[in-house]
Amino acid sequence: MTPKPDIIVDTRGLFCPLPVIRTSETAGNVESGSVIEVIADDPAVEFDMPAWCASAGHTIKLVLKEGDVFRYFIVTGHPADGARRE
Amino acid sequence: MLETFPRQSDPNVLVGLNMADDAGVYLLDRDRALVQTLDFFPPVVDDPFDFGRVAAANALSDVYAMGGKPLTAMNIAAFPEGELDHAVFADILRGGAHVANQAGVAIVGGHTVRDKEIKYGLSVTGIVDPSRMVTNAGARPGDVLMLTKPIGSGVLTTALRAGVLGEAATGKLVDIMTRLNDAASEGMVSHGASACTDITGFGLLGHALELAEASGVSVRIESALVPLMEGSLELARAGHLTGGGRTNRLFLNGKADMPAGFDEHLLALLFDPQTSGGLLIAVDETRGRRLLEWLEPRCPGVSIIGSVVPEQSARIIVS
Repeated sequence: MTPKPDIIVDTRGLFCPLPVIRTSETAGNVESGSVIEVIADDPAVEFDMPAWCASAGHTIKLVLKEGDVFRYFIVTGHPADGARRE
Repeated sequence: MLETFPRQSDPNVLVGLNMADDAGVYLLDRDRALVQTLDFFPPVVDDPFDFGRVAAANALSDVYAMGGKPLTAMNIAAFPEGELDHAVFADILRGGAHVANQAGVAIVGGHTVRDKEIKYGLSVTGIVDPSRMVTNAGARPGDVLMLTKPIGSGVLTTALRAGVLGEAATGKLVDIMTRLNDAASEGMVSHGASACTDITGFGLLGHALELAEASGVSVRIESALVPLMEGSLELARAGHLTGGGRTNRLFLNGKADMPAGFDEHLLALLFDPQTSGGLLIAVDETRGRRLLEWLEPRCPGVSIIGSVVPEQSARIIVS
């Protein structure tokens, strides 16, 4: 089942790492445990978004790919959950 | 300290002491303004020729950070008379001249004093079209932040002094520190950047704070996107930290917001004082895309590292 997003961040037309940056701005303004749906069409998001979520302590619950468009459903974590950078 | 100076009233001073920008700018006529700066410091690397190159690239950077073109420079130096071979001093000056030459800058004079510790740098004069000058005060919410060189030179030079930085790593460090910010400057001017500063002694977060305060905005730094010099995080973890980094951190106390439990050593790098660091450029996202494409072949390591947001209680938000 597709999670119900609390907020949608539409980054279509934006190049990486802007989808990550716009998602991070939104994540900074919502409670932890919120669901953010990120819509993106830069293919590099497939690498950037999981890496960033891991470092920032967020969890990707579901990824949908419809044509060239990705939809990420991300549950925001507590920032202290982020992994250390290696 | 600067706030205790009398305020200047000369209308031709476009950027002066009170503005905490990279260089002073003085309007000559409608199309031209003088850009002036001075920077000198003790050796950061052992090889005198390399030190001269680093010091010159560092001094020139302040003109590039304003979007200006450096024209002339003067050497400023301190040297312990009688204790060191004059060939060392000559090598330092040759290194400076080498980089000045590379930048198309004429060294037209200079001055040396006796001092216990070697110091070298340049006073640089350049020119800028006032309508295209890029100050640190023009960043707007929605802009992206771009950094044109990796950070970590404070930690790496500390490790070098401790004798734990190998020859290859030292070579890479010198390559980065001697790289001119000329292409970064040319790119940001031709792509219409909103604001810029160069990253030096106050570290990435300290200079980001200056830009945020001057622009009346807050900035977000995505730590995972900040390019780090090879080995810098490991050396920070091994304790090769600078006193300057600690001072920078104290200075930003209360102005920067970061998550609880944030990696202490990564944070130390974000505060790490840089020698001849890159340009931190704010540019709107459409121009940013073209600028990034233009810079990628010219500035190895150039990265988008954050964004400009409306003013909040914290000027700097690290995530």
